[in-house]
Amino acid sequence: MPLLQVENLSLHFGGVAALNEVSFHIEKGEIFSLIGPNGAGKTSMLNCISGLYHPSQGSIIFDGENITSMKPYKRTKLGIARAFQNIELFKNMTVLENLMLGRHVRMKSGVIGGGLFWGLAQKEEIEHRKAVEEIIDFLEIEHYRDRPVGMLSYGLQKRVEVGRALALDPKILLLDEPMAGMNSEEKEDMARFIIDIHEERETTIVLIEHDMGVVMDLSDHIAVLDFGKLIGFGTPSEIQNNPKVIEAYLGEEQVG
Amino acid sequence: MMTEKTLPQILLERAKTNGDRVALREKDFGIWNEYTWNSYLHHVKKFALGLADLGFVRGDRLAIIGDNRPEWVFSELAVQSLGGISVGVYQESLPNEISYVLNHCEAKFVVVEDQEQLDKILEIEDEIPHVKKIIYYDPRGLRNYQHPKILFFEEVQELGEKFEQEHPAYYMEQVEQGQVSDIAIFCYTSGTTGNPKGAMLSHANLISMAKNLTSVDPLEEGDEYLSFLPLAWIGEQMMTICIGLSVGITVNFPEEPSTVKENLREIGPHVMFAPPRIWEEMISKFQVRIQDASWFKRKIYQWLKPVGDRVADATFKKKPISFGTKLLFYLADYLLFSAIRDHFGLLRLKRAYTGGAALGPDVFRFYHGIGVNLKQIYGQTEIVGIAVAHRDGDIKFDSVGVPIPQTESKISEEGEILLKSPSVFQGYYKNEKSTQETIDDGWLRTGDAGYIDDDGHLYVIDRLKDVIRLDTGEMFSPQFIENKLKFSPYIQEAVAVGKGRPYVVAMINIDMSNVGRWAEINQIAYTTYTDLSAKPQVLELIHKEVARINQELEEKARIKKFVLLYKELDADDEELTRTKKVRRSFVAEKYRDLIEGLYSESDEIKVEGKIRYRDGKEHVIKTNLRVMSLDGEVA
Repeated sequence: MPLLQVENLSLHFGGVAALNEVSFHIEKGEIFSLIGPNGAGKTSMLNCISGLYHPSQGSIIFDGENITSMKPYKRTKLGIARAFQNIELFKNMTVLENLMLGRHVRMKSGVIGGGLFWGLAQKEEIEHRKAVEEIIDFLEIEHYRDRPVGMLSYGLQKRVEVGRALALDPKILLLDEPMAGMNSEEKEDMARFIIDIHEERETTIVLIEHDMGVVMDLSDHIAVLDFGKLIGFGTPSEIQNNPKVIEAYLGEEQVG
Repeated sequence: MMTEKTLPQILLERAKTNGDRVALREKDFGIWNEYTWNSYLHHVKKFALGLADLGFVRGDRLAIIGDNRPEWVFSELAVQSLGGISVGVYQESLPNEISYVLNHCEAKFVVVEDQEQLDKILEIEDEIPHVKKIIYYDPRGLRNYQHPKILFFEEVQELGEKFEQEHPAYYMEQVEQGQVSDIAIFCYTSGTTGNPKGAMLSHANLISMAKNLTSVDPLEEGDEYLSFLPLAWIGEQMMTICIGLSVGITVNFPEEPSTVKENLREIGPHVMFAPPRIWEEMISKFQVRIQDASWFKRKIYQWLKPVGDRVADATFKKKPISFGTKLLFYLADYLLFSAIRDHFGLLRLKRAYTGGAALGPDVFRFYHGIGVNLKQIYGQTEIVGIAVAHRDGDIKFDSVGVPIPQTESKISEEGEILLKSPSVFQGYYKNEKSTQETIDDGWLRTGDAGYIDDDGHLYVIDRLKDVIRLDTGEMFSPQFIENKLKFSPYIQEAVAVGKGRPYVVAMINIDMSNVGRWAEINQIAYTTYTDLSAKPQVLELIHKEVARINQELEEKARIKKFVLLYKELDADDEELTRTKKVRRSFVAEKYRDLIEGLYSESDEIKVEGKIRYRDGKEHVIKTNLRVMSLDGEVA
């Protein structure tokens, strides 16, 4: 059974169809990429999966559970995490605090226990701090642990954004253009992190990315959207040889 | 006071008498993890037996490449436990440099830190047939590596555990067989010319250095120390291994090379040894921070800092300090200096050493002015890093101090410094010729020009072959001029030339971060290093700095012309040694046209240079460098 199944999903804004009867599935443990020209509906698709938008038709099944109309925070609890294209961090809080906040849904102690920092709350804090420290080590941001996020470079903020999503211990990680605006060295780093997340933490990854080289290198499967419609679905080599995709998106030239 | 114990024998003794005290600490996942002397020994033993199981025998060599971690030290002690020799390799070394060292010492095993280092070794695998196994200790990113020669550090330790069950007495036997005259390490000197040479140092060499130094500069068991400079460097071997074991100080390893500043503050070491570069960097950062500080803080600093300088100067000259000044100094220390020291993590420091190159008097005055007991030491790899040092309270900032116990110094007829002590090395490995040139009747020829004053203080001028002889016959050091320049927060590196020339010229590297900041404040847009150093405003800024510094120099030594280099001098381009010293002869050859240009009439020099990137790509730069002239300047 696939980890995530999208069936006949449509999303309308007034008369405009952002997504039009899109169906695909994501297997457990793969790197899955969503590609397509600007405005093709990639981010809308992620918004439907993470619960920011409600589709007008169709269903989303995650791990055997229908989550089509579930509240976003409940989806988070199920193990769907997302790193946003436009970094959504608390700029005046430190890297460490932002990451700890990412674990909020996994914390159980209440207002009183947490406020007094006593008993369960204390034990829990240590546990979560450990998990966060692993992420800090993983993403090689030890040096920035206590810096306010707003003072970091863009590339680093992106890294922290991924870290925040990772702090949820997700089963599936949605990455919306994690490499946008990065220089080639930062891109290389990020690609390595994505592979490491996938292999070491065994997280399923959904990636939106414009850099075709990266997409073709990393992905197990790719779905291609164009004007809200699914025009291709398959392995990187299938996509590169799909005439519809070549025509609509990749252009006349073959992509290698 | 010869010692009869080898390093592993000392480790055994420490574990026996003080087994539960903390020996090492490493920050990992945000927490300082401790290793007691017992667990230190335990790790060393397991790894040693694992190596024995893999076929390591007495006299074999094992090379280590990596950042400072407990595993580095475990590997070294394990090798020495078996009567082998450990060879440290700088972690920044390029594959061909590593290949040279591994082949020269015929290393049977290599211990590497992580994927980055392992990849370098695998790249040169065909060139290093002696290497039987490559052992890594950070498994990150290596899960898919399938290679018959690769082993994980813990796998070797597991082999060691099995080996111990079959040969329970093996480790003790091996350690007991060790003689102090055995070679403990090969230390490859990054020499400013030619291929590196492997200096052979015995256990007795290493331990006598530690004993002699700590007999004048005592440290206590459990004193804290942060190990952050390359362990392949003799200075770090001195502190982490020699003094670490012989005194029993606690050695701390930083979380990452990038977190040293934070870790320094967390640990608050009792002793530090760093090359001038580190001390200069600290001041540069401090100066920038003070400029950014609030008006009130700046005023306090401007008011109280001269008090510190006055006290420092009086101490240097051994003049009495008036009661009023003393009182003011205590106030300043309470209000300001202790806070500065705390900020750098220097608050608990008993003493700090600088060595490897000369440190400017201004830097000395700065640190003593804020109450840091910074002392110059002088030595070479060939004499375990130290032979001469300042004594507490007897500091002349232009001298390097007086010889430590059991050490003699004298000046040869050519003006070369000669040294003699139990720490003089056993020769260069497989290089009889250089050995004979360097050791002369028990005296170590340092290759440095110098003199000794009436108080017995030794002064180092420069490398004998580099000194500039002025018309008066007086020797003058280009390094002295360079250090003056480098004290400016805007100047990162400088090369002064003048030997056999009518006047002194300089090639200067700007300090990218500080000048970049200055440019931002002054609204000067720039892109790369090359672009920034070609900005007329930047040229003007450095011109002012040079003019200011010139006034502190003797007439003859003043810089007449300079250029700002279009690229930073880099160890990857062989312009600096791995210890970040300028390779003067190489640089002079490489930039010959530029230097000729500085001695011509033209005020612009056409240059064509290659910039090599880490990945091996080369990029050719063609540009015109403007010659800045200081002629007719009113001194």
